[in-house]
Amino acid sequence: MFLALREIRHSKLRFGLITGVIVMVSSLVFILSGLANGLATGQSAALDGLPIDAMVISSGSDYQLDRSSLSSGTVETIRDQPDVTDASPFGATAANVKLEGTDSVLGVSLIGVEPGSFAAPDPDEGEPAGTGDNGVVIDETLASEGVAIGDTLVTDPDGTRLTVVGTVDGRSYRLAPTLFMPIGLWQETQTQADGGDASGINAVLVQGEPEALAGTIVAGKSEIIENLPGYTEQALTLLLIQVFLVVIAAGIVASFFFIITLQKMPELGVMKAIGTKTGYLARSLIVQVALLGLVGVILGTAIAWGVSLLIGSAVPFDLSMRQFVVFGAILLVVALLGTLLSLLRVARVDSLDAISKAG
Amino acid sequence: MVTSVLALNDISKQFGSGEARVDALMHITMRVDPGELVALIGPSGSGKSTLLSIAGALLTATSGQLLLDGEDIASMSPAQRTRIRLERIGFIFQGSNLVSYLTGREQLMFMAKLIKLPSSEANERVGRLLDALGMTKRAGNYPEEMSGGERQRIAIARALMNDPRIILADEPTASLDSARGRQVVEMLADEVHASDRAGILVTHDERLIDLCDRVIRIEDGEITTDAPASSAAADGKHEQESPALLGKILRR
Repeated sequence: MFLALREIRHSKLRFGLITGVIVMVSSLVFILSGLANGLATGQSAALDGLPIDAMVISSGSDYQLDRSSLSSGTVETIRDQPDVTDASPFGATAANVKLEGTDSVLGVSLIGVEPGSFAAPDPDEGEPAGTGDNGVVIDETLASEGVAIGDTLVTDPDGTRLTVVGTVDGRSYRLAPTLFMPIGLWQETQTQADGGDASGINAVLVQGEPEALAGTIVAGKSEIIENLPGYTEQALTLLLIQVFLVVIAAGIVASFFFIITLQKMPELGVMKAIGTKTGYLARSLIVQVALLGLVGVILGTAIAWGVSLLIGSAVPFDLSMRQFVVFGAILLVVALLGTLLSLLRVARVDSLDAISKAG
Repeated sequence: MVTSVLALNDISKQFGSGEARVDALMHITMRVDPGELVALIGPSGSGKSTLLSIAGALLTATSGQLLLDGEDIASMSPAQRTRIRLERIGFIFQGSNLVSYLTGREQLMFMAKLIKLPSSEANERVGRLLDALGMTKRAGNYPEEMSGGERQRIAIARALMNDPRIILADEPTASLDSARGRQVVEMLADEVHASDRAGILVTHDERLIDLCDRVIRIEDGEITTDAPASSAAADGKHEQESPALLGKILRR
């Protein structure tokens, strides 16, 4: 600590620049992670928010919710199974709606649930879906596009009139704002759209442990989410970007410290000559990297947090404190691993270099 | 008979092997007694830096015995030699080689930390050394803010922090003008003479020899002169029949 702190104090500019690099890189990692998480959440939030243990879907669906089709009667059959606490119908489709009185078409997800069941979201404001005549609960993101409680939305092109009765936060589905509606109303919109079976649903939401019926399979919530179109591919792409970022960040920090170590070789030689142990010098370097890394990551967190406030709800951004801590810790550990190269150099410093070679 | 602080018995050092073999030192036998400052002189490439490195436990000899206070340190492990350097040897290097980011006082405190001196004792010793070398006022400055002479005085103080048995000075006057160089060596000589420490001063500057007690001249890896400073200063080139040299001749 004696050497580490004094060296930082004496070379403020040099160590300030390294900290600056760590700040920039870590805030970049945090912001990208936030955006990646935001995208993932935007895809699946409506499903994430469901308090369920499993879903029953049709066996030919390949775990893709939109390709699953069951009859409404399945709900009762599942509910009667001994290990099932409760079951409820679920339907989800993409649709276009118009805010009455305007021409702009909004892309939304229509989600049909049983009013009053465990699957129906508690609105943050207003009344639950099914209240009044064709009452629907909208996701907060739709509210930010100017839709308010009391407004009327018209499905496009078939013209079912929906009244907004409540709002709920953070329930988007496949990157579109969600309209929660009674399952019956949802089935009506389906009938009008494709003339299909008016009693059809996509899935049965289950609390408890269901057994698959003939022609159906039981899927976990995470299986369904991972099989949302594009979800896994997008998650992998973003994960790779994050991994590369962290690796590159570590490389940059490691190179900076390596260059500094190279510059210090003669000085390190003298210190070894007068009896300083390699371990002492190594500890000094580790303390420096840990200290600058910690300060850099904390500042980077602050910047990323500030940016997330700035972009607001325009872009999905989602990073929990726990994730900040995890990513920060990974950055720190990787930066420390990067200094192994410098530590090897320190170990190889020849104290003999302190003596002039002239004679 | 007083035990020599440092004794080299028949020390040889070779670098490389086969065709590329270089005999840097050949059958060096010498000793430095308590309170004695020995000047080690010789042309470039004569082997005096190699000799200093071996005497300072920085380099191991190919053969021969190296005794510090009668204890053989030639056969010690690198870690043990590091401890010997830390506890019993004081180094002064060419161009001072202070740690650039420590103030004068911190250079000394760093040594105190390495030898785990209790802080009250460390403060007392640092204060005394700075005072003795006239650096109390300049001790808060960094090396880059000091003159060459000031840096070298801090280097002497640093070398004395561990209360060493022997001080090894490698051309400490190389970057100084002759007046300041002489002043620095005077301080060094005073420090050695006032205690039962020993000192070896590697130098090019034969004008400094009169401050030393004995002169050892080395050429091509062999001691050519080992004589009291008074006679050596008078005629540096003349070979003195020292006991060490005699011993070497007899062994041939």
